[in-house]
Amino acid sequence: MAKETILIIEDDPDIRELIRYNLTREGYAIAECASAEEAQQALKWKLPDLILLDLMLPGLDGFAFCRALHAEERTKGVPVIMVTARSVDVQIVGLRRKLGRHSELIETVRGVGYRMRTGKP
Amino acid sequence: MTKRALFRQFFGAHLLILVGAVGVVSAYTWLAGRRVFHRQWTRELETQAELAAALLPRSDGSVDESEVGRFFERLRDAGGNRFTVILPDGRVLGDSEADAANMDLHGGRPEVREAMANGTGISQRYSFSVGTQMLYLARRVPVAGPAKAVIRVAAPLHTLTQQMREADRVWAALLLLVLAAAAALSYAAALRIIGPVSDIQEGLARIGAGDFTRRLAIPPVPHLAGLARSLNQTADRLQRDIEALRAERNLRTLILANMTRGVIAVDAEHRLMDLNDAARALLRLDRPTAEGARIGEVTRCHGLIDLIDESERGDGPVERELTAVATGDPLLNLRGAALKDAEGKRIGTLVVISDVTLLRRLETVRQDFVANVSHELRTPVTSIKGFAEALLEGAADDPQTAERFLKIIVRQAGQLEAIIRDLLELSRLEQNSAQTLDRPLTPVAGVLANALELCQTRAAERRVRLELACEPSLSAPMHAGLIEQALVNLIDNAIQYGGSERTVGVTAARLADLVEIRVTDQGPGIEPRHLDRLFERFYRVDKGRRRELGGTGLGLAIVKHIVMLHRGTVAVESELGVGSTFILRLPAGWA
Repeated sequence: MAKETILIIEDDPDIRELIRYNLTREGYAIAECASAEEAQQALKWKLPDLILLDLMLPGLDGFAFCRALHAEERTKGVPVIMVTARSVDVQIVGLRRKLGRHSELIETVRGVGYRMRTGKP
Repeated sequence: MTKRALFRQFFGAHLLILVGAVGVVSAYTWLAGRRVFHRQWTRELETQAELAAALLPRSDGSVDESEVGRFFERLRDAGGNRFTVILPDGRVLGDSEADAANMDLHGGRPEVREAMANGTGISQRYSFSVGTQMLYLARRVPVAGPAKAVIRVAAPLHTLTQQMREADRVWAALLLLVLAAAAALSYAAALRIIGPVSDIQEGLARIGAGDFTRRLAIPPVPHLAGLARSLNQTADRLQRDIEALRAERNLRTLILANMTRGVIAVDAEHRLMDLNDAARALLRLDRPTAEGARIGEVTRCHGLIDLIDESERGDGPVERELTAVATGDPLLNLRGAALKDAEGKRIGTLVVISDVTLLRRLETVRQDFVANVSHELRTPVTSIKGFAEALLEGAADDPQTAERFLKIIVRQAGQLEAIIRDLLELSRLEQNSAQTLDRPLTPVAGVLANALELCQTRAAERRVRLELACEPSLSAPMHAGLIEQALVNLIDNAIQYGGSERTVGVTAARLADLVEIRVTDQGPGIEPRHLDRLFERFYRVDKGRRRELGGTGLGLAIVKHIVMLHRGTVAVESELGVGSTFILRLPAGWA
């Protein structure tokens, strides 16, 4: 089975590296973008299996990126996890019922996110 | 009515009544007097005729013709009236003034004929023989039985009229005297009454017109004096009441005018009863509003009209938040409540309007601050913790990875330290006040030079040229350390955002009683919508950008606080594509 690809959209390079390090260890293929605009360019080439999205981005912000993503037929099936400092929890924003085969992946990522926040295994 | 007209009316009526009454009475007495006079005179003639008849010489009942001649001579000598004796056949037997032989028959004369028939006859006619108006009185002799003769007395009428005229003259003089006296009295009375009445009238008119400065003079007429006194008392009370009302109204107007909240009162028909300046400003009412105009004609703010409708339907107060007319107008909080009179009957609606733009903005600022501070702190904390955990979980096995992760941890810890340092600095500044801050008079040029010196390394890194222009003599009371820190923050920002290989200009000049320091960059400029909020803590023009550049997000907030401690102001001007200028204005003295 091919490794699932996760696209990380995060402007802080340190946080980006941290997420990449953790998810790589779990065995996922990682793509990184520092801004929403950069991510939109990347999505033209290849669709990831999941997007990890920071809400506070320079230029186009996370919400606007999400709206654009869902407006397009080709990309609207891609699940998105929003990583935000505004709330304590890492929210899953997206079409939960459509997640289907991605649910295991999402649980893993949430687990990573949870460990990252709390330090508990 | 003027005093003269009033006088004319009053006195005229008096005079008319006087003249009328006196005229009627005197006309009556005058006529009655004439009648009495005439009767008296006739009676006298009658007596004379009777006397003459008694003296007439007679023999056996008939007149003795021979003796009559002598009798008339005597009568003629006596003078006075003219006497004539006429026989029943009309022949004149004798006359006291003419020769009887030459006289006509007198039997046809009316008075003679009448006397023959009734005993006495009177006639008044013109006598051609004497040439004047005469009164004739004839008497039969003897009075009873068949006539033997008739004796007639004739008197010229002018003797009577002459007498009467003399009496009339005296009488008329008396009448005039009485009239004149009465008129004079009436005139005096009119003067006495009309003057004060007219004064009272004028005084009342003045008071009625609202002039309470003067009171009615007390006239010397007792009744009018009482009237004037009670009118003055009424005026006093009116003046007190009106002044109290006016004071109350002025106070109300003042209160309404000085309120920052808008107040609108409308009656049940939605007509304006009151509207203060604040309401006018908040609702953007540029044109003057006529009192009594309907609210719908005055404003296009439909929310307000809906609110009044809603308030009328319900019982309790109604509240709503809206923008006045156009978007971009201030955010208004409208509160409508029923206006009730003393009996509790609803007479209209009172709407109080407050501008909650600032309140809502402060709420946004607070929410943003909490979100921002947690974000700013979370990023380094997450990094430090995440990489430390990664190291513990095996990353430390690879020395290269371990070193990279440790460097990240150190850098993020440094960022965290910088944020905490700046937050502490802000809190320290907040605890200070302009009174307690030590601000000696300090040359500005030295402080500017120090600040530039401190920024020199960073400028060199980004190949930014720093330019300074300052009058050497310029000085201002300041805490040199704090101002230096504010300037370093500003210059540092200008170096960061101005772009590399550009120029950052720092100038200082005296501007009236201010010292103005300007820090100018040649960067991309800042959008106008950010300018207001730029000095808020952690406010980001472009979210995420500052992290890359290494700022804490507190630099400008610190600048603002330092300037406020100096009783100065800080402002920013920016033009997209040209650059931004931060301007510090500090008082040049301690005033």
